[in-house]
Amino acid sequence: MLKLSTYRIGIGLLAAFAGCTSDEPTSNEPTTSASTELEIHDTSSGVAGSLGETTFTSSMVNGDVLEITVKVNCMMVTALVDYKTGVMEFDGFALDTGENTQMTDEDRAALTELEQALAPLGEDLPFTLEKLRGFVATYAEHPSTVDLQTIRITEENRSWTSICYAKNSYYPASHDCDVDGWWVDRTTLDNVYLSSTGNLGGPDGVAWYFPWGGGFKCCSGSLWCSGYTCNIPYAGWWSGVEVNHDVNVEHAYGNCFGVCGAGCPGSYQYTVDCLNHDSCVRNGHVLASGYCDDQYTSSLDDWASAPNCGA
Amino acid sequence: MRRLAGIVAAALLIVVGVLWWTRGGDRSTATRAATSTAVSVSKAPAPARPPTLASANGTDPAEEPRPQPVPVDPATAPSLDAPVSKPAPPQKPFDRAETIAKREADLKLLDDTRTRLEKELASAQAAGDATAVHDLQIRITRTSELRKQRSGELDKLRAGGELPK
Repeated sequence: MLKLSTYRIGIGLLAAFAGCTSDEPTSNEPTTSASTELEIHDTSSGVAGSLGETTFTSSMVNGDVLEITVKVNCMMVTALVDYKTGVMEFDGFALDTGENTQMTDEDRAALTELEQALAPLGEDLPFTLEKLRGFVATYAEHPSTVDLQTIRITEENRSWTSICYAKNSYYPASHDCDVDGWWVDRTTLDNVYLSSTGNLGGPDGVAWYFPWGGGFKCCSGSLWCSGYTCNIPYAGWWSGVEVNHDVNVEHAYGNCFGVCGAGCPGSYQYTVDCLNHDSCVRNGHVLASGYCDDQYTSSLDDWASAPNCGA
Repeated sequence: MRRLAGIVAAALLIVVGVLWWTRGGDRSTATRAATSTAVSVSKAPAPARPPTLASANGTDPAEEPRPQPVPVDPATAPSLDAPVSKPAPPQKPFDRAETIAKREADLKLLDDTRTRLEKELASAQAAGDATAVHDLQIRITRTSELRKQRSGELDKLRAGGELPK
Protein backbone atom coordinates (compact mmCIF):
# COMPACT_ATOMS: atom_id res chain seq x y z
CA MET A 1 0.00 0.00 0.00
CA LEU A 2 1.23 3.43 -0.84
CA LYS A 3 2.53 5.14 2.32
CA LEU A 4 2.32 8.85 2.25
CA SER A 5 4.54 11.20 4.10
CA THR A 6 4.55 14.16 1.82
CA TYR A 7 3.65 13.43 -1.78
CA ARG A 8 4.40 16.02 -4.40
CA ILE A 9 3.86 15.93 -8.11
CA GLY A 10 3.45 18.54 -10.76
CA ILE A 11 5.26 21.67 -11.70
CA GLY A 12 6.53 24.08 -9.08
CA LEU A 13 4.91 27.30 -10.11
CA LEU A 14 3.75 29.53 -7.30
CA ALA A 15 0.48 31.45 -7.19
CA ALA A 16 -0.54 34.32 -4.95
CA PHE A 17 -2.88 33.32 -2.11
CA ALA A 18 -6.23 35.07 -2.13
CA GLY A 19 -8.30 35.12 1.05
CA CYS A 20 -12.00 34.20 1.04
CA THR A 21 -13.27 36.78 3.48
CA SER A 22 -13.97 40.43 2.95
CA ASP A 23 -12.62 41.26 6.42
CA GLU A 24 -9.03 41.98 7.33
CA PRO A 25 -6.97 38.76 7.53
CA THR A 26 -7.74 37.17 10.86
CA SER A 27 -5.34 34.27 10.64
CA ASN A 28 -2.22 34.38 12.79
CA GLU A 29 -0.40 32.59 10.01
CA PRO A 30 1.63 34.64 7.56
CA THR A 31 0.29 35.04 4.06
CA THR A 32 1.73 32.25 1.93
CA SER A 33 1.87 31.43 -1.71
CA ALA A 34 -0.18 28.44 -2.82
CA SER A 35 1.85 25.89 -4.74
CA THR A 36 0.30 24.27 -7.80
CA GLU A 37 1.93 20.97 -6.88
CA LEU A 38 -0.35 18.28 -5.49
CA GLU A 39 0.56 17.87 -1.85
CA ILE A 40 -0.84 15.09 0.32
CA HIS A 41 0.14 14.17 3.85
CA ASP A 42 -1.09 11.75 6.47
CA THR A 43 -3.17 12.94 9.37
CA SER A 44 -4.10 11.07 12.51
CA SER A 45 -7.28 9.76 10.86
CA GLY A 46 -6.73 10.06 7.11
CA VAL A 47 -5.17 12.44 4.65
CA ALA A 48 -5.07 16.13 3.90
CA GLY A 49 -3.50 18.24 1.20
CA SER A 50 -3.80 20.83 -1.48
CA LEU A 51 -3.50 21.63 -5.14
CA GLY A 52 -3.04 25.30 -5.73
CA GLU A 53 -5.64 27.11 -3.68
CA THR A 54 -7.83 24.02 -3.42
CA THR A 55 -7.41 22.22 -0.11
CA PHE A 56 -8.92 18.99 1.09
CA THR A 57 -9.20 16.55 3.99
CA SER A 58 -10.48 13.01 4.08
CA SER A 59 -10.77 11.26 7.43
CA MET A 60 -12.44 8.40 9.22
CA VAL A 61 -14.12 10.02 12.18
CA ASN A 62 -16.30 8.37 14.84
CA GLY A 63 -15.44 4.86 13.70
CA ASP A 64 -17.54 4.09 10.63
CA VAL A 65 -17.98 7.65 9.41
CA LEU A 66 -15.98 9.14 6.56
CA GLU A 67 -15.75 12.91 6.39
CA ILE A 68 -14.44 14.75 3.34
CA THR A 69 -13.98 18.51 3.07
CA VAL A 70 -12.84 20.37 -0.01
CA LYS A 71 -12.27 24.12 -0.13
CA VAL A 72 -12.36 25.46 -3.67
CA ASN A 73 -12.85 29.00 -4.93
CA CYS A 74 -14.02 30.35 -1.56
CA MET A 75 -16.53 27.55 -1.19
CA MET A 76 -16.43 24.51 1.08
CA VAL A 77 -18.13 21.26 0.11
CA THR A 78 -18.41 18.46 2.63
CA ALA A 79 -19.49 14.85 2.67
CA LEU A 80 -20.35 12.69 5.67
CA VAL A 81 -20.73 8.97 4.96
CA ASP A 82 -21.93 6.66 7.72
CA TYR A 83 -21.01 3.25 6.36
CA LYS A 84 -22.76 1.47 9.21
CA THR A 85 -26.20 3.02 8.72
CA GLY A 86 -26.02 3.90 5.01
CA VAL A 87 -26.69 7.60 5.44
CA MET A 88 -24.83 10.35 3.58
CA GLU A 89 -25.05 14.07 4.19
CA PHE A 90 -23.65 16.56 1.67
CA ASP A 91 -23.26 20.29 2.12
CA GLY A 92 -21.73 23.27 0.35
CA PHE A 93 -21.52 26.89 1.39
CA ALA A 94 -19.75 30.16 0.79
CA LEU A 95 -16.74 30.48 3.07
CA ASP A 96 -17.09 34.21 3.62
CA THR A 97 -20.69 34.19 4.83
CA GLY A 98 -21.57 30.57 5.52
CA GLU A 99 -24.60 30.88 3.29
CA ASN A 100 -25.84 28.56 0.59
CA THR A 101 -24.17 28.68 -2.77
CA GLN A 102 -24.01 26.50 -5.86
CA MET A 103 -21.39 24.90 -8.07
CA THR A 104 -20.09 27.01 -10.92
CA ASP A 105 -18.11 26.30 -14.05
CA GLU A 106 -14.99 27.57 -12.29
CA ASP A 107 -15.55 25.20 -9.40
CA ARG A 108 -16.03 22.25 -11.72
CA ALA A 109 -12.84 23.20 -13.56
CA ALA A 110 -10.86 23.35 -10.31
CA LEU A 111 -12.25 20.01 -9.17
CA THR A 112 -11.47 18.49 -12.55
CA GLU A 113 -7.92 19.72 -12.16
CA LEU A 114 -7.71 18.09 -8.74
CA GLU A 115 -9.21 14.88 -10.09
CA GLN A 116 -6.65 14.79 -12.88
CA ALA A 117 -3.89 15.25 -10.33
CA LEU A 118 -5.25 12.41 -8.18
CA ALA A 119 -5.95 10.00 -11.05
CA PRO A 120 -2.33 8.90 -11.62
CA LEU A 121 -1.86 7.84 -7.99
CA GLY A 122 -2.80 4.30 -8.92
CA GLU A 123 -5.12 1.81 -7.33
CA ASP A 124 -3.38 0.74 -4.11
CA LEU A 125 -4.30 3.74 -2.01
CA PRO A 126 -5.33 4.33 1.58
CA PHE A 127 -9.11 4.12 1.89
CA THR A 128 -9.54 7.79 2.72
CA LEU A 129 -7.50 8.88 -0.30
CA GLU A 130 -9.30 6.51 -2.65
CA LYS A 131 -12.66 7.88 -1.49
CA LEU A 132 -11.46 11.46 -1.77
CA ARG A 133 -10.59 10.77 -5.41
CA GLY A 134 -14.03 9.32 -6.10
CA PHE A 135 -15.76 12.23 -4.36
CA VAL A 136 -13.78 14.82 -6.26
CA ALA A 137 -14.41 13.05 -9.58
CA THR A 138 -18.15 13.01 -8.88
CA TYR A 139 -18.30 16.61 -7.72
CA ALA A 140 -16.38 17.75 -10.80
CA GLU A 141 -19.63 16.99 -12.65
CA HIS A 142 -21.94 18.56 -10.05
CA PRO A 143 -24.56 20.63 -11.91
CA SER A 144 -25.18 24.20 -10.88
CA THR A 145 -28.88 23.39 -10.64
CA VAL A 146 -28.54 20.67 -7.99
CA ASP A 147 -28.51 21.77 -4.37
CA LEU A 148 -25.20 21.26 -2.63
CA GLN A 149 -26.96 20.39 0.62
CA THR A 150 -28.69 17.04 0.36
CA ILE A 151 -29.13 13.69 2.05
CA ARG A 152 -28.74 10.31 0.40
CA ILE A 153 -29.67 6.89 1.72
CA THR A 154 -27.29 4.36 0.30
CA GLU A 155 -27.27 0.58 -0.02
CA GLU A 156 -26.00 -1.79 -2.68
CA ASN A 157 -28.56 -2.65 -5.36
CA ARG A 158 -31.00 -0.21 -3.71
CA SER A 159 -29.30 3.12 -4.47
CA TRP A 160 -26.19 2.01 -6.34
CA THR A 161 -25.48 -0.99 -8.51
CA SER A 162 -22.03 -1.99 -9.65
CA ILE A 163 -21.65 -3.27 -13.20
CA CYS A 164 -18.01 -4.34 -12.99
CA TYR A 165 -19.14 -7.61 -14.60
CA ALA A 166 -20.14 -5.71 -17.74
CA LYS A 167 -16.73 -4.14 -18.30
CA ASN A 168 -15.54 -4.67 -21.88
CA SER A 169 -19.01 -5.55 -23.11
CA TYR A 170 -22.10 -3.76 -24.34
CA TYR A 171 -24.68 -2.57 -21.81
CA PRO A 172 -27.86 -0.52 -22.25
CA ALA A 173 -28.24 3.02 -20.93
CA SER A 174 -31.14 5.47 -20.75
CA HIS A 175 -32.39 8.72 -19.24
CA ASP A 176 -35.52 10.85 -19.07
CA CYS A 177 -35.71 14.40 -20.34
CA ASP A 178 -37.76 16.87 -22.34
CA VAL A 179 -37.55 14.57 -25.35
CA ASP A 180 -39.10 11.50 -23.72
CA GLY A 181 -39.14 9.18 -20.71
CA TRP A 182 -36.93 6.31 -19.66
CA TRP A 183 -36.25 3.31 -21.88
CA VAL A 184 -37.87 4.55 -25.05
CA ASP A 185 -35.96 4.53 -28.30
CA ARG A 186 -35.09 8.22 -28.37
CA THR A 187 -33.60 8.27 -24.87
CA THR A 188 -32.01 4.84 -24.88
CA LEU A 189 -28.72 3.56 -26.19
CA ASP A 190 -29.01 -0.19 -26.49
CA ASN A 191 -25.27 -0.82 -26.64
CA VAL A 192 -22.80 1.28 -24.69
CA TYR A 193 -19.40 -0.38 -24.70
CA LEU A 194 -18.01 -0.06 -21.19
CA SER A 195 -14.25 0.36 -21.30
CA SER A 196 -11.40 2.55 -20.15
CA THR A 197 -10.93 3.95 -23.65
CA GLY A 198 -10.03 7.60 -23.27
CA ASN A 199 -11.29 10.80 -24.78
CA LEU A 200 -11.93 10.35 -28.50
CA GLY A 201 -12.52 14.03 -29.20
CA GLY A 202 -15.60 16.09 -29.91
CA PRO A 203 -18.01 17.55 -27.34
CA ASP A 204 -17.98 14.48 -25.06
CA GLY A 205 -15.04 12.36 -26.19
CA VAL A 206 -17.44 9.66 -27.42
CA ALA A 207 -17.51 7.63 -30.63
CA TRP A 208 -20.80 6.50 -32.16
CA TYR A 209 -21.64 3.78 -34.66
CA PHE A 210 -23.66 5.14 -37.55
CA PRO A 211 -25.32 2.28 -39.46
CA TRP A 212 -25.32 4.07 -42.83
CA GLY A 213 -24.06 7.24 -44.49
CA GLY A 214 -26.45 10.17 -44.31
CA GLY A 215 -27.92 12.76 -41.97
CA PHE A 216 -28.31 12.09 -38.27
CA LYS A 217 -29.52 14.23 -35.36
CA CYS A 218 -26.63 15.87 -33.53
CA CYS A 219 -26.22 18.75 -31.14
CA SER A 220 -23.46 21.27 -30.73
CA GLY A 221 -22.40 20.24 -27.22
CA SER A 222 -22.19 23.85 -26.12
CA LEU A 223 -24.44 25.39 -23.44
CA TRP A 224 -27.41 25.53 -25.80
CA CYS A 225 -26.67 22.10 -27.36
CA SER A 226 -28.25 23.43 -30.50
CA GLY A 227 -29.58 20.70 -32.75
CA TYR A 228 -28.34 20.24 -36.27
CA THR A 229 -27.94 17.49 -38.83
CA CYS A 230 -24.50 15.96 -38.95
CA ASN A 231 -23.65 14.36 -42.26
CA ILE A 232 -21.90 11.01 -41.97
CA PRO A 233 -20.10 9.98 -45.18
CA TYR A 234 -20.45 6.22 -44.68
CA ALA A 235 -21.38 3.59 -42.10
CA GLY A 236 -18.94 3.02 -39.28
CA TRP A 237 -17.60 4.42 -36.02
CA TRP A 238 -17.27 8.20 -35.89
CA SER A 239 -16.16 10.55 -33.13
CA GLY A 240 -16.10 14.34 -32.99
CA VAL A 241 -19.85 14.84 -32.68
CA GLU A 242 -22.61 14.48 -30.10
CA VAL A 243 -25.63 12.46 -31.17
CA ASN A 244 -28.95 14.03 -30.21
CA HIS A 245 -31.56 11.37 -29.37
CA ASP A 246 -31.30 9.79 -32.84
CA VAL A 247 -33.20 6.49 -32.84
CA ASN A 248 -30.91 5.09 -35.54
CA VAL A 249 -27.77 5.27 -33.36
CA GLU A 250 -27.54 2.56 -30.72
CA HIS A 251 -23.81 1.99 -30.20
CA ALA A 252 -21.37 4.26 -28.36
CA TYR A 253 -18.09 4.08 -26.44
CA GLY A 254 -15.20 6.23 -25.28
CA ASN A 255 -14.14 8.65 -22.54
CA CYS A 256 -14.71 6.00 -19.87
CA PHE A 257 -18.42 5.81 -20.69
CA GLY A 258 -20.17 4.50 -17.56
CA VAL A 259 -17.42 5.34 -15.08
CA CYS A 260 -18.48 7.55 -12.18
CA GLY A 261 -17.28 11.11 -12.26
CA ALA A 262 -15.20 13.27 -14.51
CA GLY A 263 -11.87 12.28 -15.83
CA CYS A 264 -10.60 9.36 -17.85
CA PRO A 265 -8.71 7.61 -16.39
CA GLY A 266 -10.65 8.08 -13.24
CA SER A 267 -12.27 6.08 -10.51
CA TYR A 268 -13.12 3.05 -12.68
CA GLN A 269 -16.32 2.63 -10.72
CA TYR A 270 -18.79 1.41 -13.35
CA THR A 271 -22.34 1.70 -12.02
CA VAL A 272 -25.84 1.80 -13.48
CA ASP A 273 -26.50 5.31 -12.21
CA CYS A 274 -23.21 6.73 -13.48
CA LEU A 275 -23.79 5.11 -16.87
CA ASN A 276 -27.26 6.60 -17.14
CA HIS A 277 -25.92 10.01 -16.16
CA ASP A 278 -23.26 9.77 -18.85
CA SER A 279 -25.90 8.75 -21.38
CA CYS A 280 -27.90 11.87 -20.53
CA VAL A 281 -25.12 14.46 -20.74
CA ARG A 282 -23.59 12.83 -23.82
CA ASN A 283 -26.75 12.24 -25.86
CA GLY A 284 -28.44 15.53 -26.63
CA HIS A 285 -27.68 17.35 -23.40
CA VAL A 286 -24.72 18.89 -21.61
CA LEU A 287 -23.34 18.69 -18.08
CA ALA A 288 -25.15 21.88 -17.12
CA SER A 289 -28.51 20.65 -18.42
CA GLY A 290 -31.21 20.55 -15.80
CA TYR A 291 -32.69 17.50 -17.53
CA CYS A 292 -29.78 15.40 -16.30
CA ASP A 293 -30.05 16.56 -12.68
CA ASP A 294 -32.02 13.52 -11.55
CA GLN A 295 -29.53 11.17 -13.18
CA TYR A 296 -26.71 13.01 -11.39
CA THR A 297 -28.51 12.92 -8.05
CA SER A 298 -29.03 9.18 -8.42
CA SER A 299 -25.31 8.71 -8.95
CA LEU A 300 -24.29 10.99 -6.07
CA ASP A 301 -23.76 8.15 -3.61
CA ASP A 302 -22.03 5.68 -5.91
CA TRP A 303 -18.46 6.93 -5.34
CA ALA A 304 -18.62 6.10 -1.65
CA SER A 305 -19.27 2.38 -1.94
CA ALA A 306 -19.09 1.06 -5.50
CA PRO A 307 -16.02 -1.10 -6.11
CA ASN A 308 -13.17 -0.06 -8.38
CA CYS A 309 -13.48 -2.29 -11.43
CA GLY A 310 -9.94 -1.60 -12.60
CA ALA A 311 -8.86 -0.16 -15.91
CA MET B 1 -41.80 37.14 -34.62
CA ARG B 2 -38.20 36.33 -35.57
CA ARG B 3 -37.17 39.82 -34.46
CA LEU B 4 -38.91 39.38 -31.09
CA ALA B 5 -37.30 35.97 -30.65
CA GLY B 6 -33.93 37.48 -31.41
CA ILE B 7 -34.45 40.26 -28.87
CA VAL B 8 -35.51 37.71 -26.22
CA ALA B 9 -32.47 35.56 -26.98
CA ALA B 10 -30.16 38.56 -26.74
CA ALA B 11 -31.73 39.64 -23.46
CA LEU B 12 -31.29 36.15 -22.02
CA LEU B 13 -27.64 36.16 -23.05
CA ILE B 14 -27.12 39.55 -21.41
CA VAL B 15 -28.76 38.39 -18.17
CA VAL B 16 -26.67 35.22 -18.10
CA GLY B 17 -23.55 37.24 -18.85
CA VAL B 18 -24.23 39.79 -16.09
CA LEU B 19 -25.01 37.12 -13.54
CA TRP B 20 -21.86 35.24 -14.58
CA TRP B 21 -19.76 38.41 -14.20
CA THR B 22 -21.24 39.51 -10.91
CA ARG B 23 -21.03 36.17 -9.12
CA GLY B 24 -17.37 37.19 -8.47
CA GLY B 25 -16.14 36.69 -4.90
CA ASP B 26 -19.53 37.04 -3.26
CA ARG B 27 -20.83 33.51 -3.33
CA SER B 28 -23.61 34.30 -0.91
CA THR B 29 -25.72 36.39 -3.26
CA ALA B 30 -29.03 34.94 -4.22
CA THR B 31 -27.53 32.76 -6.86
CA ARG B 32 -30.62 30.62 -7.16
CA ALA B 33 -31.68 33.24 -9.67
CA ALA B 34 -28.55 32.53 -11.66
CA THR B 35 -29.23 28.85 -11.32
CA SER B 36 -32.76 29.30 -12.57
CA THR B 37 -31.47 31.27 -15.50
CA ALA B 38 -28.99 28.54 -16.32
CA VAL B 39 -31.77 25.97 -16.19
CA SER B 40 -34.03 28.05 -18.37
CA VAL B 41 -31.21 28.48 -20.84
CA SER B 42 -30.62 24.78 -21.16
CA LYS B 43 -34.30 23.84 -21.09
CA ALA B 44 -35.47 26.47 -23.56
CA PRO B 45 -35.88 25.41 -27.13
CA ALA B 46 -32.98 26.37 -29.33
CA PRO B 47 -33.45 30.11 -29.87
CA ALA B 48 -34.72 31.20 -33.24
CA ARG B 49 -32.01 32.69 -35.35
CA PRO B 50 -31.81 36.46 -35.35
CA PRO B 51 -32.16 38.17 -38.69
CA THR B 52 -28.98 37.49 -40.61
CA LEU B 53 -26.73 40.42 -41.21
CA ALA B 54 -24.43 40.61 -44.20
CA SER B 55 -20.83 40.36 -43.10
CA ALA B 56 -17.93 42.02 -44.81
CA ASN B 57 -17.32 39.07 -47.09
CA GLY B 58 -21.00 38.34 -47.70
CA THR B 59 -21.24 35.10 -45.69
CA ASP B 60 -23.52 34.35 -42.75
CA PRO B 61 -22.41 35.59 -39.31
CA ALA B 62 -20.75 33.17 -36.92
CA GLU B 63 -23.14 30.52 -35.57
CA GLU B 64 -22.84 28.04 -32.77
CA PRO B 65 -20.02 25.67 -33.61
CA ARG B 66 -21.16 22.51 -35.36
CA PRO B 67 -18.74 19.70 -34.55
CA GLN B 68 -17.91 17.55 -37.53
CA PRO B 69 -17.53 13.78 -37.60
CA VAL B 70 -14.10 12.21 -37.54
CA PRO B 71 -13.70 8.56 -38.61
CA VAL B 72 -12.47 6.11 -35.99
CA ASP B 73 -10.01 3.42 -37.00
CA PRO B 74 -12.15 0.26 -37.03
CA ALA B 75 -9.19 -1.69 -35.66
CA THR B 76 -9.37 0.29 -32.42
CA ALA B 77 -13.16 0.31 -32.07
CA PRO B 78 -15.13 -2.44 -30.34
CA SER B 79 -16.62 -5.11 -32.57
CA LEU B 80 -20.36 -4.92 -33.10
CA ASP B 81 -20.32 -8.62 -32.21
CA ALA B 82 -18.72 -7.99 -28.79
CA PRO B 83 -20.51 -9.58 -25.84
CA VAL B 84 -23.70 -8.00 -24.55
CA SER B 85 -24.10 -8.11 -20.78
CA LYS B 86 -27.40 -8.80 -19.11
CA PRO B 87 -28.75 -5.71 -17.37
CA ALA B 88 -28.67 -5.70 -13.57
CA PRO B 89 -32.01 -6.07 -11.79
CA PRO B 90 -33.85 -2.82 -11.08
CA GLN B 91 -32.98 -1.11 -7.80
CA LYS B 92 -35.59 -1.71 -5.13
CA PRO B 93 -36.60 1.60 -3.54
CA PHE B 94 -36.58 2.07 0.23
CA ASP B 95 -39.98 1.75 1.86
CA ARG B 96 -41.37 4.05 4.54
CA ALA B 97 -40.15 2.03 7.50
CA GLU B 98 -36.65 1.79 6.08
CA THR B 99 -36.55 5.47 5.23
CA ILE B 100 -37.66 6.44 8.73
CA ALA B 101 -35.00 4.21 10.28
CA LYS B 102 -32.31 5.74 8.07
CA ARG B 103 -33.51 9.25 8.88
CA GLU B 104 -33.35 8.48 12.59
CA ALA B 105 -29.77 7.35 12.08
CA ASP B 106 -29.15 10.56 10.21
CA LEU B 107 -30.18 12.65 13.21
CA LYS B 108 -27.63 10.80 15.32
CA LEU B 109 -25.01 11.36 12.64
CA LEU B 110 -25.69 15.08 12.76
CA ASP B 111 -25.64 15.14 16.56
CA ASP B 112 -22.33 13.28 16.66
CA THR B 113 -20.92 15.56 13.98
CA ARG B 114 -21.88 18.69 15.89
CA THR B 115 -20.30 17.34 19.07
CA ARG B 116 -17.10 16.51 17.21
CA LEU B 117 -16.95 19.87 15.46
CA GLU B 118 -17.38 21.65 18.79
CA LYS B 119 -14.38 19.78 20.16
CA GLU B 120 -12.39 20.68 17.07
CA LEU B 121 -13.45 24.30 17.51
CA ALA B 122 -12.17 24.34 21.08
CA SER B 123 -8.84 22.96 19.87
CA ALA B 124 -8.63 25.48 17.05
CA GLN B 125 -9.37 28.34 19.41
CA ALA B 126 -6.71 27.14 21.82
CA ALA B 127 -4.23 26.94 18.94
CA GLY B 128 -5.15 30.38 17.65
CA ASP B 129 -6.02 29.04 14.20
CA ALA B 130 -8.40 31.76 13.05
CA THR B 131 -9.18 30.14 9.70
CA ALA B 132 -10.14 26.85 11.28
CA VAL B 133 -12.18 28.67 13.92
CA HIS B 134 -14.08 30.56 11.23
CA ASP B 135 -14.77 27.46 9.16
CA LEU B 136 -15.80 25.35 12.13
CA GLN B 137 -18.17 27.99 13.46
CA ILE B 138 -19.92 28.01 10.11
CA ARG B 139 -20.10 24.24 9.99
CA ILE B 140 -21.50 24.01 13.52
CA THR B 141 -24.18 26.58 12.74
CA ARG B 142 -25.15 24.84 9.51
CA THR B 143 -25.16 21.42 11.16
CA SER B 144 -27.46 22.69 13.89
CA GLU B 145 -29.84 24.23 11.37
CA LEU B 146 -29.75 21.15 9.22
CA ARG B 147 -30.52 18.99 12.23
CA LYS B 148 -33.68 20.98 12.87
CA GLN B 149 -34.67 20.70 9.22
CA ARG B 150 -34.09 16.96 9.11
CA SER B 151 -36.05 16.49 12.32
CA GLY B 152 -38.99 18.25 10.73
CA GLU B 153 -38.72 16.09 7.62
CA LEU B 154 -38.70 12.97 9.78
CA ASP B 155 -41.81 14.11 11.62
CA LYS B 156 -43.59 14.49 8.29
CA LEU B 157 -42.51 11.03 7.21
CA ARG B 158 -43.80 9.54 10.41
CA ALA B 159 -47.08 11.36 9.86
CA GLY B 160 -47.43 9.74 6.45
CA GLY B 161 -45.85 12.43 4.33
CA GLU B 162 -44.51 11.73 0.84
CA LEU B 163 -41.38 9.64 0.64
CA PRO B 164 -38.42 11.58 -0.72
CA LYS B 165 -37.13 10.49 -4.11
